[in-house]
Amino acid sequence: MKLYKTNEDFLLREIAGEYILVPVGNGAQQLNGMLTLNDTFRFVWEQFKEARTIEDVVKRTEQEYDAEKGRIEQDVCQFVRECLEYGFMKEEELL
Amino acid sequence: MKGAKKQWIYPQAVGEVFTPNEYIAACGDSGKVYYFKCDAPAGTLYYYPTSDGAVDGIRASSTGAKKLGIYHPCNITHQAASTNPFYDGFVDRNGNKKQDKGEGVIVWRGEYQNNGHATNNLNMDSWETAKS
Repeated sequence: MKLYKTNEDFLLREIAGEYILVPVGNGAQQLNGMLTLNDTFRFVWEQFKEARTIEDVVKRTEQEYDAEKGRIEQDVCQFVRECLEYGFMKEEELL
Repeated sequence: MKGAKKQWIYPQAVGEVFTPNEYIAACGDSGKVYYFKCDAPAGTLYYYPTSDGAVDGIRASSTGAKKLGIYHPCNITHQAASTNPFYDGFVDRNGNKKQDKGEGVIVWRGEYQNNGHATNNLNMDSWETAKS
C-alpha cells in the first residue's frame, strides 16, 4: 500500500485571501516562483500533509465536496501523478 | 451541524515565475472588452511573454516559452479588457515540453497578471466583444 505526502520544501500560505504554495530550500531550486491554488487544490494538499493513501484522501474529499460519482477519485489520482512529476509530493511505502 | 458540501472542481495551480515582467500589450479600443472563455483542454500551460507580431497561438518554435504550470480549464467566460495583454501559448498535453500541432492557445493572465486562462479559439476577430 502506498502513502503519499507533500514535499516539505513547499509551504502553503494564505496571502490576501489567496492560497499560495511557496518553495523553500530545495524546492526553490525547482521552482523560482510560487503557485496560486484554487480551493480544491488547497484542500487536497492539506490532506496529504500527513502521509496518506489516495483512498483515504478521496473519502475525506468526498465528505467535503459534491461531484458526480467517481470524479473525485479520478481527479485526486491525476493530482497525485502530477504532483509527483513536479516534485511537490513524495511517495512512501507502508511497511 | 455540518454545512452543505462545496461544488468540486479540478485542483488547479497557476505558477508565477519571479522574473521581470515582459509583455507587449495588445492594441485595442479602450472601453471594449472581450468575452474570453477559458476552455482549452487541460495539460501544462506555457506562454510566450514576447510577441512575434501576432496573437494567434502559432509559433514556428517553442523558444522563449515560459511555463505557467498545471492547467485545467475553468470553463468560465471572462470579461477581458481589450487593453489587457493576450499572449500566444500552448498546452503541453503529451509531456514533451514543446508546442506541437494542435496545442497552440491564446493565453490571458487575468486582470492582475497572476493567473492562467487559455482558449484554443485562435481567431481573436471572432471573439464576442462588448463596450465596458
